[in-house]
Amino acid sequence: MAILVDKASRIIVQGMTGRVGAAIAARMVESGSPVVGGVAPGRGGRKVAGLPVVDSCYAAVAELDATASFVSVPAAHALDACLEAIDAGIEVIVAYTEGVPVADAIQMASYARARGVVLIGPNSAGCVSPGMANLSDLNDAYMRPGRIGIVSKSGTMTYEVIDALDAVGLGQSTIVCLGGDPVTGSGHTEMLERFEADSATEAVVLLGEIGGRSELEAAAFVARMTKPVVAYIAGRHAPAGKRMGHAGALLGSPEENAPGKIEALRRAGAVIVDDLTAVGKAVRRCCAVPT
Amino acid sequence: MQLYEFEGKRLFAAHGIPVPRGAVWPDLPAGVERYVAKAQVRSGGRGKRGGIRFIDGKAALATAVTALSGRSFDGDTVGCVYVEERLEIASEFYLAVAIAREARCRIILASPSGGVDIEAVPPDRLLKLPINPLLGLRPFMTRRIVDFLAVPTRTAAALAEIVSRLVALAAREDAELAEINPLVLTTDGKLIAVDAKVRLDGNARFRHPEWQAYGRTAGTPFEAAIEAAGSVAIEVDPAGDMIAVMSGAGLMMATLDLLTAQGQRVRAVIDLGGVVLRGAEGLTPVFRAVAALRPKLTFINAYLQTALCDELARGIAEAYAAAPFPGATVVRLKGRNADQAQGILRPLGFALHAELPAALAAVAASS
Repeated sequence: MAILVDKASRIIVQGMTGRVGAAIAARMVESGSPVVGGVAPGRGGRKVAGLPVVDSCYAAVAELDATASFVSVPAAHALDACLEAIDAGIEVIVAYTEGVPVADAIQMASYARARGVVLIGPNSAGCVSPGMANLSDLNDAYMRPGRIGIVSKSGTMTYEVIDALDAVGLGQSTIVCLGGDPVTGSGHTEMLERFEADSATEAVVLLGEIGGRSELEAAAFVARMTKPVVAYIAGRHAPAGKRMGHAGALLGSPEENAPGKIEALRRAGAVIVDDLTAVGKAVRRCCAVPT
Repeated sequence: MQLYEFEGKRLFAAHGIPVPRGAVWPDLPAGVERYVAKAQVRSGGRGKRGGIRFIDGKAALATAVTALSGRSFDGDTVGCVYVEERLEIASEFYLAVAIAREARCRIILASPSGGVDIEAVPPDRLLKLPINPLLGLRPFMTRRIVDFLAVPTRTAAALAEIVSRLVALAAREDAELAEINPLVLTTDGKLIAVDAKVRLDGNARFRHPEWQAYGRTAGTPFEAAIEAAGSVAIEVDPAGDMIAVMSGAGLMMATLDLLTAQGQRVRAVIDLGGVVLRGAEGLTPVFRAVAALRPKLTFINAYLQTALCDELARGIAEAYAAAPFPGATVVRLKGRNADQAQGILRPLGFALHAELPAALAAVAASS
């Protein structure tokens, strides 16, 4: 098994008639991901990448049995698109759109929680269980199935860690990118809980960055985990008072900086890696049996 | 996007939150004899460093304003001077509406210890009240704030009104922060917002055409040039002589950490973001800004799993022809169509690598 998405998932792309949505859908088809169609209001009946487009998430659930959605719509429409997906009963939603107002992120996150739906993002690269289902912008060609879970805020940092794992012969159970915005639907802790319960995951890589408390809250759960956690926190040399590309990556209270998060995770028993390219070797040392 | 105090106060006034009578110099508030002249800067803590002057009578104002106008605070030059009426203060409170990231909601912060750094206020003197977005602000919450601040009974209704209006302002104006410090109770029993710190959510710009009236938040000229080109730049070390250009925010932070650990002094880092898709047209203004800093070494670090490396490489080659930057260049390019990309970049004489560790070694060798 894996977490969040697997072979039984039925994926739709919201905004599939857009340039990015169409490209992502085509890649899902090409890589054998279980994508069943897409949503574009007012454009139902078309085909994109050989898949049916329907007018609403309700139709996607009723006609296509959709269970997971990749939301790639303009920022001004992201809130409504996500709320509709939640309301229609989609179970796992990736809000890929960047530039979503924080007030909108708050609305979608709280409605998702109220309805028991998993919302990843906004500004998330998505989640993928290699070889099973890809609900992300990560390319299947650069990953392979395995027993390591990755939870990260950033997509591009995750690419490097997949490479570093690959270099030591390790693949991934599921990769989750939470998104770099100040408010996102899910934090590190919820994903660690899922990885801890997942029989296909042997160890977890936790990638964090400066700003916010997601990694600090995760440390409390790391202390209770039976599986090894290898952690890397980016931004230890970030200058004070600057947003480091991610809207959420801004130094706040002292413990939200890199040393504060590293210390909390170290005390909780995580293996701390100082060099992003060395994550693979650190994970290799944690894994008892070859995977 | 941080607003000046006077801009924040105009928003307060528009939402019915009482503010002192005031005007931007050389205008003056009518019917006022005792003034406060306040340097308008976006950084905090100006009061402690002489950015606020108390002046009686119009005659002395001009001298005070001239003294403030030439100054800068934390590298932030005084934009203008705001002149307002001086109040007779009985007590000072703190009231703010902010974002609670992990609680995923707005939060009201209230303290009876106003007029000081809120970080310095002891926890038992600071009320943190999250607003569940599905409920909104409710009367029981407002009552809790009124009780906590222990204002005189005859002021309770006015305080409740200000709380409600500040919450409405934050929502309507897409403010990440709307802070009143201090909220003053005057000797004649009025509650007035004596300072205003408002930070707007830049992501909400699409639904606020009125924001065009605000100047862009102050960054360095280099950061502003890169922002105008559609990317993000952060100046790190003014004494540094290398610039690093990345294809994502997480990679940017991690690369800065790797370079700094290697002993490099990094002048600036850039996250190209969507510019990787825009070819030479997008990259040329970025390269022009890089060239203006005259780096000894430029490191381009891109790993593209969605966009195409050969398209980025064509953009780099064309942009470099239009705006060549001095010094050595190390390029790490990995991802879709990376082989074709190597062929496009080879004639430029850059050191080309696919793997990050090898590229970092090349950077170390070039510096």
